[in-house]
Amino acid sequence: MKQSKKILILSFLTAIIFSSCKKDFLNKGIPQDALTTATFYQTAAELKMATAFLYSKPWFDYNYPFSYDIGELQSGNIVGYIYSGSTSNDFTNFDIPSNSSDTKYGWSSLFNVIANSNVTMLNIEQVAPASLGAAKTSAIGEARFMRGIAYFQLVQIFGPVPLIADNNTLAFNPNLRANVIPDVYRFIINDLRYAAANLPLTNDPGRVTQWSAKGLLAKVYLTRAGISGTRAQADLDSAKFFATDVAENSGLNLMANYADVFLTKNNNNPECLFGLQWTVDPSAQYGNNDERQTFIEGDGTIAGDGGSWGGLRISADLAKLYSASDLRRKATFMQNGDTYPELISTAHPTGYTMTDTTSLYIKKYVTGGPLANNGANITAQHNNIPTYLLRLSDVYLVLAEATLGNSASTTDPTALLYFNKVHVRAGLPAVTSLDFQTIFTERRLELAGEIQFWFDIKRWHDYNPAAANAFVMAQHRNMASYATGDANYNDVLPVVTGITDNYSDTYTNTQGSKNNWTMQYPAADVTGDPLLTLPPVPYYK
Amino acid sequence: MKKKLPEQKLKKLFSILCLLLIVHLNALAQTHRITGRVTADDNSPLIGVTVRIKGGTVGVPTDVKGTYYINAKVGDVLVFSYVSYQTKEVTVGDNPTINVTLSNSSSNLNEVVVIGYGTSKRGNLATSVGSISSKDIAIAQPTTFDQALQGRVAGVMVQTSSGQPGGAISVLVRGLGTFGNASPLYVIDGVIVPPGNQSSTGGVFLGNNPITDNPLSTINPSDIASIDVLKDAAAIAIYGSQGSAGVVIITTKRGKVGPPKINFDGYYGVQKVTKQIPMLDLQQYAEFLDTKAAIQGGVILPGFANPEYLGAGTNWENELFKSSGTYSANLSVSGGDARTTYLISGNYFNQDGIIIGSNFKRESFKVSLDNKTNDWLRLGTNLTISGINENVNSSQYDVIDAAYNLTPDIATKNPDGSISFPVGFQGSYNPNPIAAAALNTNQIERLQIFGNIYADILFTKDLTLHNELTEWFDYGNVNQFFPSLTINTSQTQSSAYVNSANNKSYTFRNQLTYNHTLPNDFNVNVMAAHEATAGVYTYLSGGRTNFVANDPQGLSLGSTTSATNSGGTSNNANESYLGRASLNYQGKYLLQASVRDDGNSNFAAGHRWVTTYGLAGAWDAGKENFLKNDIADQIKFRASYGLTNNANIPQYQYGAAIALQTVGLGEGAQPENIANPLLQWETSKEVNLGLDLGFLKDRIQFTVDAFLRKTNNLLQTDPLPLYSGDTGTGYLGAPTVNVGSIQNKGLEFSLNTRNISGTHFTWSTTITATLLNTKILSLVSNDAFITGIIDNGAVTATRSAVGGDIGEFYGYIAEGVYKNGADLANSAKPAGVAVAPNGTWVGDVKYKDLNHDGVIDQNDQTYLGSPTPKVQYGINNTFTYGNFDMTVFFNGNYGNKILNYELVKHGDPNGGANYFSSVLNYARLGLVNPNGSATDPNNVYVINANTSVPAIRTSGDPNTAISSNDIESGSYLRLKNLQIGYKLPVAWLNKWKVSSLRVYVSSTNLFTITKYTGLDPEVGDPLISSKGGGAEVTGIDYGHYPNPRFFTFGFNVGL
Repeated sequence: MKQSKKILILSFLTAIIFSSCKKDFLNKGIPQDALTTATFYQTAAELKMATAFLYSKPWFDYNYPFSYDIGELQSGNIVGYIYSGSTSNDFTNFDIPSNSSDTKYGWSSLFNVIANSNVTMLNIEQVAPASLGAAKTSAIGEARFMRGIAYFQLVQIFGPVPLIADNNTLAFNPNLRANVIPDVYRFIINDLRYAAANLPLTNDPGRVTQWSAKGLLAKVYLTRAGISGTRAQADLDSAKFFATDVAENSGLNLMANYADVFLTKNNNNPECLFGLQWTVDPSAQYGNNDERQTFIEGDGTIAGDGGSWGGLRISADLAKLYSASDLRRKATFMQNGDTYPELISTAHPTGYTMTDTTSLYIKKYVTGGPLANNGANITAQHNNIPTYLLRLSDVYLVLAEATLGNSASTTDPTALLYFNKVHVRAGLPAVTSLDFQTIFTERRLELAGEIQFWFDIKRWHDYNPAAANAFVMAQHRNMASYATGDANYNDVLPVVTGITDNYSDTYTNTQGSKNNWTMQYPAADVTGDPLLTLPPVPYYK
Repeated sequence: MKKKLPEQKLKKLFSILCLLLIVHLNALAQTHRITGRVTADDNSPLIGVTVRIKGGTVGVPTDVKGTYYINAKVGDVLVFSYVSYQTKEVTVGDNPTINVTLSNSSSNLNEVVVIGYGTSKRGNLATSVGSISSKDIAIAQPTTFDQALQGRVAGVMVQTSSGQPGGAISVLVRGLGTFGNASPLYVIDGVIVPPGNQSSTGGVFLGNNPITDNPLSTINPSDIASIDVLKDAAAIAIYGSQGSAGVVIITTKRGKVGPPKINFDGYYGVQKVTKQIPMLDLQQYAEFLDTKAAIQGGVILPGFANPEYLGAGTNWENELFKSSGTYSANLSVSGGDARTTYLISGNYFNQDGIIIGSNFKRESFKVSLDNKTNDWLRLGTNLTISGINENVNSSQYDVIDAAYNLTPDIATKNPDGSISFPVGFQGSYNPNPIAAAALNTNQIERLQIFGNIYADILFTKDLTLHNELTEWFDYGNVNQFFPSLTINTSQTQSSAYVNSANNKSYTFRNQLTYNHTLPNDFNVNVMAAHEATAGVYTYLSGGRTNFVANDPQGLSLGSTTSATNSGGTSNNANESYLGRASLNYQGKYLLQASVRDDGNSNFAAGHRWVTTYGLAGAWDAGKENFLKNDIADQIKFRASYGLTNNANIPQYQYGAAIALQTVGLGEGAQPENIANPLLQWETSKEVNLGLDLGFLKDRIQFTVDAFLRKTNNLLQTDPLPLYSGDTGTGYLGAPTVNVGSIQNKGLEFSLNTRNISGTHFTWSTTITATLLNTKILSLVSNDAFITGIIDNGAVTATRSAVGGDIGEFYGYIAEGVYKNGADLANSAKPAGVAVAPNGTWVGDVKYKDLNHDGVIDQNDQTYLGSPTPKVQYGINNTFTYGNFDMTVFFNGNYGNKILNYELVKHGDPNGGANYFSSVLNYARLGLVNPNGSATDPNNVYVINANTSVPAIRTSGDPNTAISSNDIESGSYLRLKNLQIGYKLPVAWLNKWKVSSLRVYVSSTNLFTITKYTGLDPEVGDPLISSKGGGAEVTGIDYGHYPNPRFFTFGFNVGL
């Protein structure tokens, strides 16, 4: 080969070697199938997408089973069934292991809401153009509402918790100490006051409004009132102020029929001030669905959607509390002989009739399968009824309780007016005077199955621990049975099998010694963050 | 491209090389034609021996008669080289005929070692490189080639992650030096498979767990000619950032000059589980439950009143494990003439698992072609196409654990033939693993193509330009179907999911090599190259539920309202400039320097480019005149130092992507992680000191390497507390950060001896051993640690802290049980729990009060051992006697611990499901005064006081914490391979025109000596699953798919 030819080839190949790369070669690391936080949040529609996420997936692990563990099992409204495993019994018996995975999931889920709310509000503040105006502040208000309500759950369940306002900072400076309870409440109130000032009066169905924030503020103030051991009048007044504002100025009213509130066709009816939002869209990722029905229904053929875990059961303690004329009873649980014409499934073409004489099934949030819900794509663990965390009737009863305050009884006309709206709708005669027990029982019956009752007992315990303890000790925390013709519900004696052992008719709990009025932090964070179990510190200097 | 100084440097270097090229274009001097015959010791002709003039690159092969012709000048030195024969040099004199006899060599000094972008003789290495040959691979009979590395290369630790045929394997070169992916870089005939690269089917969720399959399971081990492992930083440096955890270079077989050779290898094997864990049989189970009911005040289950009348019930392990067959057939044709060589091979491999619902099939086809087009051009290609088909039902559903969860009173089938389930069980998943394996479809299929084409231009005999394009295609399909079935009263929904993905990458490589020998045998070898890699991964998946019927199962037969789909694409790119210079003076003094500049798209602009370098030197004192003698052949001291860099993180961690999804309120946007724009390369600095000794004409060869590696700026997902919101559903991903440093140090030995080298009897031994020590030097702070959480986040099992190893087990020290009231009163107890039968009670596990504060709490936890072996070793002995040969290969681990998590679950009398028989040793409580109170602790004592198993309690179970009771020694010694072969005498074979025939019997995992009570002490890396996975949770036995025992019969035929 000629030398010149070689040199020619050589030069040519040299050119290839040193010029092969295009300029964008290494920018291939920027995803081409995803948006990035640096460029999102540009339009009002994009801000709505950003906040829509906060109503769904981050709450998933809280939604079930943890919220039922706390709100229903620990409060004695609901008990486990023999095949639903021993975790239910742990909460019924206040015997929760430090490494409970339910606790871990509940804790991390609420903090997921906080983390996502934080990053969303910060991104919106930094990236969204100021020209979006109210859309921008309203979106931040939604995120702050979410953070506020997540902290409200946390402080009621765990007591002192670390306050996190910026997860970017946390990521590079982890290991926080818990903050004292009064500061947690102050943090929550700051968030909700911002939300109340910036959220619109009305919003898309399911999204929070100013009234959601004010209703929740009322409840937060009512709860904060007692944390020092005696109820602070200033907080009771604030609770009454915000509850009255919602009751009188929101223009919202209770639905005529209690049972209708929990039908999927009435999802996000005006009575519902805040609910976690779920979807049955087949393309939705797991975690944006409501999985409760599959776990709580007493009979897998009710939904007929291919999955059932044996369900939970109504406790004798709750069942015995309903008067025969209370319309809420059938909407809350099923007993032998009840028929629900709307619960149509292949197995029950004319509606479901309950025939089990050995236990009581949960009805609230058991909405059936596709045939009962206009063909919706309801499958095992996939339902779309919102998890209502704040209803108008709740706010009405907060109004009554705040008005009663430290008095033994009240005949305040506003309090009576709104209390009776709830009471009379249930098919019961109006009352003329309110005392603590009346309101406490009314809240339990109105909100049974809505993961609220434990917080009511806890709120009571804050300023009257002896009474709350005695109340829990006396509860019939076991299954109830009902056969046609029975005069009342019967306690079910323990069904001991190889699988479960914790049923006990004469319940004696040990919550005094185990300090279960606030739960232990999950073991993973106790070992992971040695500072967490040190005495809590103030957040506000 | 904005940068870069190194590029300019390389350009300069390149110009110099161009000048050199011109200088050395000189004409050939007057030459003669030399001829001769090359034979082996037994006077048989050697075909394909390369004959070349020393210092030149052009060689000629010998033909079928062993004859060669070459043009040479008087005074030239002819070099005769042939694989596994000693190279011979003869100086050309006046005689035009030169006949040569080559002796078979077991010396590895002349062995060609692939060092990346070039080759070297082992004798000329200054860096640390370990190798195995096709012979070693053949003995190991591996399903996937990586299994063959186990115990055979010092410094390489291999543990199977699953005994599932074709399952994932963890290969660690010189220990774990990162929290990220620590698997090595694989280079298969120039195709770069980056560390941690998932196969096209990997990561897809099937059932409970994502698929973690072996991306290289498509490679047919019998196509491999050699595997070379680059170990020290100086050796790795040439691969730059991608090779920071070591480089495994696989060279496949190519044709040799000679008449067509047809080889057929086949074997058939039977495999079986080696061990079962004794479980309670029906009678024992009933007795146990009756006892429990008596203690707990429960009722006796129907049918359990008289256990003595019950039979053994169902033994779920017997139902699960089966013996199964393996068949392998491999046909190859190779040969070639002086201009073109070729090799074509085809392989079929079929292995059924020892657990129902698992099998692995592979079909592969390979062709390689090398052509010497003319005196300045070489062209060639290498193409491998292979397909695998795997049934992964068993590994996706934790079947072993599922079997342990089923009790002996459940029949495998109902009398009418239908599937049986635990009484009262409701749910939408199938708890019966036998039925699940039979009914569900969990199939993965992959088609993979590895290929390269190259063109070498020989400008002069010294200067070569190698241009190469490699392509890698990986097409995968996942197909799963769960039929609708009736579980007690509930009807489950049928569902199907399919995923189709393809993974493509290409590399374009230009490499200029200048190799010149100056007078006095002073060799200079300089290489400069540019390499650009780009890859794209795309996938499309869909699912449906509610099928018309369970069969047929086509996706479109599911209900349309349930239809889901998703898809996406991702890209990666890497561009590098690299160079290496090696100086070799008479094989006595060796010096090598390499440098590589990498840009990686995983980092933000400004942090993208990094330089990797390595320096190595060696001195062979054995070649010095003052030491030259007949005993020592080689006394080589090696030293190297290098800096390597690692970018093994998910892409775009320097920013944050938004995931769009359907949520309750319509379309929702989720920020995926916290961005870290400051993210930079993880860097490792490594020093290696080595000594190679060869004695008695290399009858004894000994190599020892000592290394110290320090890795800084560890890339890891920020280990944040749960309250940062970085776990669970809807989490906000923690940022990837550069935090901490790790030190790895170790010693590697390998000893080859030819103990007996007689005419009829030979015996040789190879021993390799790796000693490793890993220490975390720093984390966020000195008292920081990373917790390893397992079992759905419920259990903290390990802690990685400054000063310790990665993933050390962490928990309490158990000291038996509380023996009586006095023991209970005098020992530390958990705080806040009453002394009572349902609180802390006699018969509970007594944990050691390490801090002597009188209370058992989290502060009494301590380190319970490391899952990393202190030593991993292999001992191979090969014997030949006449036509017989025998190989005995032992391997083992020493000094590691295993968390036997199945024991935690099934060895606790207060736990659920079925129990290991060891549970029967539970603490039996007796009353001091039989008429006294059973709730007075002073009246209660443990009858079998020395037991470590707690008592049956009236309620609750405080004995579930991870403790020393659950940590077992993972040391083992295993007869990994035993093979006995017989070569049929040639005289017999000639009749059938067969040139060679060898038959053999072989056994793998024949026996294992270990104290470990689980199924298999080789636990390794757990598969990533809902139970947890990653560097911080290794060595945990969750019902690990055990390695089976194999017996095979096989033969090799040559035509």
